[in-house]
Amino acid sequence: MAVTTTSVSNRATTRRGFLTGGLKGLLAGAAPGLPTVAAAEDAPNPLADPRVRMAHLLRRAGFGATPAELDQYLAMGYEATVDWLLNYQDRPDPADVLAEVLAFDFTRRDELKRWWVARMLKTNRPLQEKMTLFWHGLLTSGFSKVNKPELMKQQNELLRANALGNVRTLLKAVSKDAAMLVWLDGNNSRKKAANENYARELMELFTMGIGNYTEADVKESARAFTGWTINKDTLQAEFRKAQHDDGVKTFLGQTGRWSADDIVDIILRQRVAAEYLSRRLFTFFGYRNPSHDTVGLLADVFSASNWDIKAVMRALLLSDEFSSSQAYRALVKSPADYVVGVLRTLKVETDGDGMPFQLREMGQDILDPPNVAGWPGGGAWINSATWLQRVNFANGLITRRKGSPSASLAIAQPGEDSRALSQRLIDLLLDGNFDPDRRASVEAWIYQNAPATLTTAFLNRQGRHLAYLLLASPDYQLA
Amino acid sequence: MLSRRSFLKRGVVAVSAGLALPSFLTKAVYAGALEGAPDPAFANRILVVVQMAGGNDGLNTVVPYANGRYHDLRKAIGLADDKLIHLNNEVALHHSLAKFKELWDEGRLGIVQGAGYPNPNLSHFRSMEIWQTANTGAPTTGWLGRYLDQALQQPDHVIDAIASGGSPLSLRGQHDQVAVVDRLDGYQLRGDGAFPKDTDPRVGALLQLYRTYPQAAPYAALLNTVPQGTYASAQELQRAAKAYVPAVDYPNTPLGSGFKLLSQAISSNLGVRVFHVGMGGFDTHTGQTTAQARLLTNLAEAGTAFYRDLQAHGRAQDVLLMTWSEFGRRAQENANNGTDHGTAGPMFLLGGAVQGGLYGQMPSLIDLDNGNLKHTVDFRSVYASVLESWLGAPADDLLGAHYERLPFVAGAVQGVAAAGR
Repeated sequence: MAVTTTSVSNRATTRRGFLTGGLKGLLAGAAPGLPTVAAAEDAPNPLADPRVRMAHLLRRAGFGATPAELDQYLAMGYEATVDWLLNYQDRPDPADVLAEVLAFDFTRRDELKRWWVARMLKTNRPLQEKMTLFWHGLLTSGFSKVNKPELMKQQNELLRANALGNVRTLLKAVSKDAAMLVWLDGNNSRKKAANENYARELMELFTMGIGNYTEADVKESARAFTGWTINKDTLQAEFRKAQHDDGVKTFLGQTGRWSADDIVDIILRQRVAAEYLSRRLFTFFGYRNPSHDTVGLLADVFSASNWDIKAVMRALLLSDEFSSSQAYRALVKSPADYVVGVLRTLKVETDGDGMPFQLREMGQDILDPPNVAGWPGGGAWINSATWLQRVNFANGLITRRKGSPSASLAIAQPGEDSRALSQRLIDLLLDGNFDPDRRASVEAWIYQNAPATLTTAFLNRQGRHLAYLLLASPDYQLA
Repeated sequence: MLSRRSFLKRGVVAVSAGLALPSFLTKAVYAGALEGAPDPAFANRILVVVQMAGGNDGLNTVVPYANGRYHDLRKAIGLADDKLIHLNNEVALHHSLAKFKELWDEGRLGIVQGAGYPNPNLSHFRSMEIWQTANTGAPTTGWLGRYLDQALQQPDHVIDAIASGGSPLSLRGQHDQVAVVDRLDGYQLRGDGAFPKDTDPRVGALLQLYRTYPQAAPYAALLNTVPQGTYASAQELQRAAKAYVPAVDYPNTPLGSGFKLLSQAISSNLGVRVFHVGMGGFDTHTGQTTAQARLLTNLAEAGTAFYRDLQAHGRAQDVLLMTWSEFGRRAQENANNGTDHGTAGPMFLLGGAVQGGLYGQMPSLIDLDNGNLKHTVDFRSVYASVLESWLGAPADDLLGAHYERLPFVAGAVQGVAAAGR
């Protein structure tokens, strides 16, 4: 994998060119009974269009963008936008004042969830929030066991502060994080009886994957984490030397009086850990089943940079793979991608009220994952119940029932004719990338019984139906 | 640029093509004409699978109370006589399973002791995969998905399986329609109140977009099928909801609501053969006593309410409920009033046609493997018996090997079901 910004595709393809070229493949693929055309290699890459590529970047490394935002990013250029996304540390975040403005009650779980959704909606550091979501799905904890919202807030802030920091720092901090000490029982682990829960999941789920350690490694490293408990008054982790097993342990073939930090250091000496985290990152941001080479090159960046997350994310977002046709619409949007993306793209005014409920019903109850493995993601995001929730959410938004936040972009704008309205919505929601045949079938229905002269009322009905169908479409479920 | 007229002209063709019934709706039309219809003896039988996720502590569920070694291993969390319901002079139920004791006394509760598999894996996720696929190799399809694939090639109904609490790997097959339903009130496709006449054509246009999603694109198989099946199942379930009146009070828990939903679908004759219900929280590394008591109470109360409701609707004979958990827990308690990941554990079987009693042997508490129980029954023996004796399916084919049968289905003649097919 070459980590460069050049040559997304050597094909000079305009958007119009893509539509025409794409049509043949799509028509063949859609016709029942005909063999599918395996055209992936030859199909033009939609991401060759700079605007489509920028929208793709913002969907993956953020929560989507409005047309005006896309204009600004395009003026900056792709690589500069990647750097803008990565280097947010000196940029004040409007999301930081939300807590004051909206006066959240952080002793309540639902308020904490709403605070986080509101952050995703208002932030000007979209990659920071996206990375926080990534880490929450990997180094996860949840309300189903961590009863105190304060602890979950602390952990969320830890993940956000280290979102693009260093893996070593992050893992050492997470190993002593109060919510994690509850979630995986470190708080109850004792010198004479080490609890295995954290040690096992640190290796199986957080850093290496099954098959790269033994049951003996679980037992030995569990001893190293003893002593870290929660101070009941401060709700912070503290080290109680008397409860720490400082004896000799043999872990992954190395013998010594290992501490919690030593265990993290030994894990991070394993090549498999760099590969595991690279695969998790690429699977979250790029596409599923990245090649061994893709993973290996990101792992090399982890090694060369001494575990710098920002360096790896820069390499990932600038990689050819990330901008290849294989990456386009290759991920199922998570519920957070879907809900926050719709609200941001349609510029819906909302403080996030009701949105954690939407996320939960779509299968992503943030701060309360189904289990210690987080959310499986991918195809698991879509089943009958969660699909209904998605399309009904779109319906509620577009039909603007009482109490729903309004989506004014879904109706005809002044001076817009029917054709322009359709094109604007398709540009806004599908990168202008909607194959003509399927588009024609949707519009044919909308135009049935159209009056001879198109009235504003008709145009508004058209916009409303089309916006619903696009938001509910299979194309829009993919990022 | 297309004129509006040519738009219409091209679109009409596409739309009419889209209005053709999708394949799952035409199944009903063709079913009667096809040969090899299911054996009527098994036609009404339904399997309900309950997943106890997290690894339930079997030793404190079905307790070898007369074995002194149990009390040595469980000094802090061991159950004393006042917390036990004796089944015989060796084993007892956890006191929170009092409702199950009623069914035991009626001869309708079967307990398989020591269920597990060789070379047990202590990872939740790997062990779940092994139970869900019934395969210790590389898993692709679930054991119930494979059953649905072979049994329902000519189904006369819309929904093959209903899952409450997520869609498990065990139901994954080649072409089954699994409806995941958590709350019935949200399980419908809402329309645009301002344009009521547009409701049906708008649904048609939406489903058309999914049907025509390019098959070579990522996730196309999922996107081509889920919405079509969902729409049809939502119509059916909403119809069923209107006809059903529960005969009992269900516990006000997600599990209780899940069972109520199943009872509704069963008593409405939707033709669903397999149901899957998930409950979590069994990963009791700390403070097990309170947590497990709450979970087992919920299981026994919701499960028994379900059975009583089925009885009242005349369907208890048609339903077999089976529980499973990815592993039991370490024989020796840990220092946190809890237990760590272990191996073998009990499975419950419940239903009007269950031959009540104990099956298999309680694992030894002395002959341990790294502190873990050695399984005495391969869980695939239980699956094989369910598939063959209860569902009349070719168990050996579906499981890829022969496993010993357990006679927990009352009146089943072992081996005949498979031979007859």
